[in-house]
Parts: sequence; structure tokens; C-alpha cells
Amino acid sequence: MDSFLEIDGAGFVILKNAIMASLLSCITFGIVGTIVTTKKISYMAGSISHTILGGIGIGVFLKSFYNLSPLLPIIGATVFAIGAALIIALTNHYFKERYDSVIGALWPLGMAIGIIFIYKTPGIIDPMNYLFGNILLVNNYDLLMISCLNCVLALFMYLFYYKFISLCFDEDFSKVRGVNTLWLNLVLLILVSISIVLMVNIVGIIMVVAMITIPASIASKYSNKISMIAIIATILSLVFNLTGLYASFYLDLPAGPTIIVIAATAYLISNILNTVFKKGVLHE
Amino acid sequence: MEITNSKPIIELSNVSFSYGKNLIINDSSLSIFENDFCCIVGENGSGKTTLLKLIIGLLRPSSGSVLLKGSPPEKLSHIVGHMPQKVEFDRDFPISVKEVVLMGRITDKLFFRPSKSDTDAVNEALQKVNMLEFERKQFSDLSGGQQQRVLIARAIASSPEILFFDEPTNSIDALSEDKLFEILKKLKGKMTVVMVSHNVRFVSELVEKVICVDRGQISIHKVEAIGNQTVKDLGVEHYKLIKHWHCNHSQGENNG
Repeated sequence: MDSFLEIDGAGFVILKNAIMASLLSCITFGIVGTIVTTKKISYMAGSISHTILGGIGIGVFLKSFYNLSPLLPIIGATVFAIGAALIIALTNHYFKERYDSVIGALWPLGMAIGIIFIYKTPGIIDPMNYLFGNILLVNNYDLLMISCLNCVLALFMYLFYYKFISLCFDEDFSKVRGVNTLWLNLVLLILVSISIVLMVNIVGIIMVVAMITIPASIASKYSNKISMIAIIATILSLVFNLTGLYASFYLDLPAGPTIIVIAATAYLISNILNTVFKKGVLHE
Repeated sequence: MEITNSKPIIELSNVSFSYGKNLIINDSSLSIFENDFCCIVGENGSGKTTLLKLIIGLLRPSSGSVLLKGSPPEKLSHIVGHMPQKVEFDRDFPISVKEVVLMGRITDKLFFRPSKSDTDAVNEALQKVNMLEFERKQFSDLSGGQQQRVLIARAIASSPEILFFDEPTNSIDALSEDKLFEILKKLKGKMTVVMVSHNVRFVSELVEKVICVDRGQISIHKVEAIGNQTVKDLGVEHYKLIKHWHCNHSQGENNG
């Protein structure tokens, strides 16, 4: 087997794109992960990322059955992601419906629709491709899209940082100060949804959930500042991604699941260390 | 109902509000005037916090109207300072004291980035509650009493004309209560203050008017004008507060 750093030709382009995707997606995971963990909507992000399988399934079906645009799966995913975010936010706002029950209903519904349409699509399509993705298939167009997304996320956090922390810390107070909290919540959820769609296209549904929640959750244990949590989460995402790619290359394992196993192991170790140090067990 | 020439700063007209089938406020009216220091009293579950939330626009009445200086509350957010019940906060939220107080400077404009005047106002508000030295500390690292003072700083950071406090003395120790009392004493007469509280000392020594919420009805009483009959009407809980006030003032007058 070639060394990780000695690949040339087509292999080099594939690996170069995968590493570029890792670098760029880490910034996305760092910022979106911080938004999701600070606002405590990890479960909602999980629901949105699974619900979009419905949109992907319909898109794949229409693309194959009627020979339509190859962009249909990503368009379907975007519609389902934003739709799920709006349903969750608006039912909670107007009908005081509990978040978890709406999330619990949308999660399996989206997946079921996706599986039904994929099943009915002519030819053999493996749903595992969408669950775990394949970072090695990233192209230049994907890289451009993530770069644009990162610019939008960074600009949003710069302009809305104080309104965002006010919304997360004390939503009622934000309302009293005249902040349109419904609008801000919707913008936040739509941004998270679009990020999830772009990331699912690259790393798969399961890895999106893992990479949004795990690095930011670890970072939040070691920093009390939101901007610092985003930076630490970005660095951790990068470490997990590169280590995962490296390990998957040498051990001949699928890249996505390897990255998730490494991230989850780090999360477990960090939790144990945090508990031990916090309770002072090591000092007794 | 009190007769006065000035225009009310807070005016509720025939307000009703219910949670589902549970009627909390029933066709009640209320006027509060500039620089009044009022306390909303009532038994647990009587609708004190609901009334406060109706006045600041967090809840909308099922019928009737709530006006602050003649406009709906959501249009006059810049004149309102609010300190909610402390229990609603997540103690582990990653935020500094300065960032908490900066929230009090947020306006209804689309973007907010703190300017020098915002930072100066934050420092001034922290100075007023003797918390300036803690501005870089994490909010979660403070004691309950210190957190309350930071939340007061947040409420006064925008120099509001009306201040609302919901149970400000909840779960704080006696020393913190003393400090809070001194802060509120300084605010008295400088702005309109509406407070929900069960604290006998706060009500009897600071408050000029008592707003009673009882079985859906709201009534406002000027403390010194309360006679025996009104005291009976107020119910046991309020009777204790008012009696305490009368005792304090009688002693004061006798001593004088």
C-alpha cells in the first residue's frame, strides 16, 4: 500500500479534495456545532438531518424515473430540511407543541419516505451511501459550496452574536428588548438546516449529527466563552477528520464511520476526564 | 380608583387573560403613573407573573388593551427594563458578566454590535450595583445574590423609564437581600418600578402602591390610604404585608 502522503495522479486529486473538504467542513462543524449545543437543539439537528432522507429519496426517484436534473436529490434534501425546521419551530411557537414530540414524529417519517422512494427507484441504490456518505467523492463544486456557507455562517455570527447569546440565555428578555425572537429562531434553524444538507452531501447523515454535536460538546467542557468553544470545536473537528482519514486509509476502513468512532471515543474519554477532575477524584 | 391629573405610564383597560379554560385575569383595569413604586401581591398561582408578563408584552390579553405611554408594549421596548425570576436561567451557560449586561443594550434594530456608549452604559450599570470588578467573570461563577445584582444591572443598562422585577428576592441570602434593598431604594422616585414580591420588608418599606391579584380581579391601593375594611378585602396574605407596613409607620410616627 502507498503511503498516505505519497499518492499521485487521480488518487492524489481524490485525497486532496477529501482533505480540503475536511478542512472546510471543520469550520462549518465548529460554528454550527456551537450554535446547536449552545441553543441545546442537538436532538432537533439530528431530526432534521434524518428527515432529509425523505427529500433525497424523492429526488433520486424523480431523477431516475423521469430522467430529470441530477441536482434533484440535493434540492429535495434542502426542501425537507427547511420544511422540518419550520414545522418544528412554528408548531412550538404557535401551538406550544412540545419540541420532542414533533421531532420524534418527523424523524422516522422523513426516513420512511426516503426508504420507500429509494426502494421504488429503478436500479440498485444503497441507502448506506446517504447515511455515511463518502468524503472521498467530494468534487470542486462541493468545496465551493462549503466555502460560501462558511462565509455566510461567519458573517451571521459576527452580526448576530449578541442577539444570539441573548436568545439562548434568556429568550423572554430578548423579546422584551424588542428582538423578533421567532424570526431569529427561524433564521438560525434555516442556517443549521442548509449546513446539514451541504454536509450530508459530503459526509452522510450519521456523520453530520456526530460532527455537529461531539466536537462542540467536548469544547464546551473546556471553555466558558462561546467564540472560544467555536474555535476549539473547529480544531477538534479537524483533528478527528484527519485522524479518521489517516486511519481509514491504513486500516482499509470506510472513512466516515472511522471518523465517527474516533470522535465518539474522544468524547467518552473527555467525559471521563472531566468527571474525574471536576469531582477531584485524582486529588483524593 | 385613584384620582390624579397626570397621564398613566401603564394602562390596562378591561383586560382578560386565560390559559386554556383557566381564567387568570377577568375584565380588569389598572393605571400606574410615572415614578410610582408598585408591588404586585397575591397568593401562589393567583396570576402575579401573568399580570407582569401582560404588561411587558410577553403575553397578549384575550380581550382588552395594555398600553405603555399610550402605545402597545412591544413598540416601546426601549423604555422597559425587566428582571425575570432567576430560576429560569441555565447556570452553566457560557457567558461573562459583561455580556449579560450588554444584553440590556440590545435594541429592536436588525444588527447589534456594542459601541463605546454601550460599553460605558454597561460599566455605569455595573457600578450602580457594585459589580464592576466582576465584569470579566463568568456569570455562572457568581453567587445567587451577585447574579441578581448583575441582572439588575442588565435591566437598568438602557436607562429605562419603567422597571419590572419578578420575585427579585427569591433564593438569595440576607446579606444579598440588604444590598438589593439599597439598590431599589436608590431607584425609588427616579423611575416607575413594578415588582412582584412576597417579601414583607420590601413591600412595607419601599412600596407606595399595592396591586392585588385575587381570583382574576386586580385592584390597586395606595398603601397609606388602606383602611381596615380594605385590609379585610385584600385577604390574609396581603393583610400581613399591609399590617407590617402600618406597624412600621406607626412606630416611626410615635418616635418622631
